[in-house]
Amino acid sequence: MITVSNLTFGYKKGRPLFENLSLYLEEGHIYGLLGKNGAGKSTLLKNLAGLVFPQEGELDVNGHNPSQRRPSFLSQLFFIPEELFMPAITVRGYVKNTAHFYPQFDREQFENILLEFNVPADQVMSRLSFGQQKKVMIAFGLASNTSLLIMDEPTNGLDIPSKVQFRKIIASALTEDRCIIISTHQVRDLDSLIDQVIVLHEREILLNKSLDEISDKLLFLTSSEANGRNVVYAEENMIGTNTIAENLYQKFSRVDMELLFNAIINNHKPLTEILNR
Amino acid sequence: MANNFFSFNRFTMLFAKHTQEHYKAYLMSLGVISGILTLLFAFIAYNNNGVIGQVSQLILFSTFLLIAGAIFTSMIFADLGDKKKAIQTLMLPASYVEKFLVSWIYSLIIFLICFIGAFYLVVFIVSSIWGNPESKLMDLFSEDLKPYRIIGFYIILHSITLIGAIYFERLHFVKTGFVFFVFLVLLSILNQFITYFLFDGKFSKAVPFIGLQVIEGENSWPIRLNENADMLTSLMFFTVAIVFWICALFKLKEKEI
Repeated sequence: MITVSNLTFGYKKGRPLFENLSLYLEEGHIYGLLGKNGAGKSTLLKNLAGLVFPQEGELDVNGHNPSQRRPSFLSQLFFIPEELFMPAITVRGYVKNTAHFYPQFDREQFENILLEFNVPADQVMSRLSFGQQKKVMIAFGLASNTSLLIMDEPTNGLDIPSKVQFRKIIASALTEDRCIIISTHQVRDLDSLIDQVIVLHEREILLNKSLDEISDKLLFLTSSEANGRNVVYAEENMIGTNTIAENLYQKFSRVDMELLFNAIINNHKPLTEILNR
Repeated sequence: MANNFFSFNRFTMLFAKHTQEHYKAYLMSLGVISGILTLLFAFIAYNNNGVIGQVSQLILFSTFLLIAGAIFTSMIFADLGDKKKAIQTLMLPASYVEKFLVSWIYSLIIFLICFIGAFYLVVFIVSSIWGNPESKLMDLFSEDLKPYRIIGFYIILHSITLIGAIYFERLHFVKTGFVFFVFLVLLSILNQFITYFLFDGKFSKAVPFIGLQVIEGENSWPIRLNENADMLTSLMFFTVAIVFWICALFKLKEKEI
């Protein structure tokens, strides 16, 4: 679905945000793109959407070169940026004048998601709160049923109950022929939602694995459970120490994404060696 | 949806979307221009026994058409200077040709129709209030004052402003204006140099593309373009406008956020 080959990009020449970055993403998955502030998550997403053009390397999204921004490519992609602009028309008016650009748009699905988010459809979009505006665009993006849905920091501006709703709604919207990419620096927001983790750090993709693969090879335990053996990363918190150890005996543990993310950006080599075995 | 270059169906949808999202602002702007014109014409009529002279009409017609038109055109692509708006504009499933054409039609064709319509309506209403039979509407195609030339000038100005609106991300109007006037100054200096060498310094009032005054002893002779050459200049300007529109179209295609 998405093939990124040797992508190099920077806003200024000689100062690349990524160098020779390669990535392959498939439909049927929800990808979590993680990275610190300024790691280039939004820029990578903009490259995929064709909003900026690569300096070197190639991008293939659904068989299209994104930088050409062809209508047939755009009608299969919905991009929700971190900051939104809302026209001064009602939510219903927006659906009426925009939905037909997306051939698979489902009005009933849109109304249902809006209802679940508790956003009134007869409100003028520019007068909605930032969180409500995000909800409208998330509902619109999901109901457009495009094969690729990209969300840049979608949980920014959402309150805690809305984040729970967000996870539930996104999980229910995934189909086999759809690929959803969500970027965030708030790793916990994507807990129990994503099934693939991508970590972008210092111009490189340090990790692109499924949660199943990660839990197959790594154990996420407290220090007392780990007992010091095969521990590759440890992090102290208020109530003790959390650890990541090599999963030698095929035990199951829930992937602690925040711990994994911290471990990867601190020193990724021991972890990536285990994960790539 | 198969045609990625231009689809009439998609264009119509885009035109309808643009209209629905902007018509209130456009109507308000037209209302403001009409209001100012009404005040100015009423002032002229009041001081002139209800007569609104042809020259007064031409002056206000030219000034308002060029200034309001340039501001409107520079605003129509302002969305591309605002990242939030630009992402929505560029991500909408329509081709760059369709997106360009909607803005082009609004800022050139629809603007001209609405402005000319509002102008004549205002002059008609103000003249009717005073009811002086001497007051006549300006003939747009009169060979005496040639008001239609202003429309030609607006077409050139539109192409310059449109490319500026896409090229500059902020303060489109000011920056385009600045570049345009710098170009005019450089052109006048170059024209002065060329004319100096051609006429051995014996000239005055050399205006690019218009003419000059040749000085011979105590006499001076105006040199103007003849009708054919005048036509050629118009054609050249119109070609430049087309080139600028095409450049603006490709600039939109290559726009990055």
